[in-house]
Amino acid sequence: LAAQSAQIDSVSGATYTSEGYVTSLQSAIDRAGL
Amino acid sequence: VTRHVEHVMGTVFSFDVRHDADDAVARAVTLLHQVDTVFSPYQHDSAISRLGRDEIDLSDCPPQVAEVLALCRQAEKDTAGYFTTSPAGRLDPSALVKGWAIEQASLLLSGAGAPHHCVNGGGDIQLGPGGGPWRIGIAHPLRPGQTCAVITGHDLAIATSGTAERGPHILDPHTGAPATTLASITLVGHRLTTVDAWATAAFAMGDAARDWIEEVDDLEGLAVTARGEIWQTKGFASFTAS
Repeated sequence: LAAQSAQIDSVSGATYTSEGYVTSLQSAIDRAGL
Repeated sequence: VTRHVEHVMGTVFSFDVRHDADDAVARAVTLLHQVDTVFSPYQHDSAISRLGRDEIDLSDCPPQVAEVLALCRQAEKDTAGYFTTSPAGRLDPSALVKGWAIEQASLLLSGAGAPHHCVNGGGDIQLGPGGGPWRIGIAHPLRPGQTCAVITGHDLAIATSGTAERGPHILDPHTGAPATTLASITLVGHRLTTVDAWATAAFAMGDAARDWIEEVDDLEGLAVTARGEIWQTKGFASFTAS
């Protein structure tokens, strides 16, 4: 996940729930940026 | 730079604002919670729930309700009824409200002097009009954690509908059955309100969405079928990273 998320700013995909977000690529990007 | 993550509307919003814009982001977050309070179909006493039960009239609702329902009617027309305001037989404009709310948040940020931003609401994205190109991955619906394309640009709306996160939940309004031809479809345009509503409709259309998208100005699409095949409209490559 980290290698891919380093090259993109955000991810578009099917709408996740709050629970689904936790394991999402977007979550990894957010954690890296916050 | 201001980064913020907010749980609202049953999903998670991610703000990436390339300005020191704490106040503007706080106002955008307040706006999202206000929209959720008015439009949540899960809250018994939300205006949209009460309107759906005919307990109140449209004139009793906040003015955003009339605005959103007018946008819903337009989306129904634009998509030959593949977008519907009553997907489960009761009033529920959620499929348009989220994209509209994301676009409103983006407009608020631009109006506050922070136009270089990316607002991602649960996987649907509005890129502000300012700043250099963003790189936006499209989640591969059949390969968790991987992307199937990368879009570059700014001043763009990117919406994806699919079954990867919540299963086959999008019904074909013309048959009442869940749409299963596609695993996901991503539309790229300029305003997320319409692009997000159209993505839901395009998912219900299945492979027929390809010809429909080609007919719409300033709209491109990429789909992954349930079998794992990928197709894209003629102009989609103009958005993808080389």
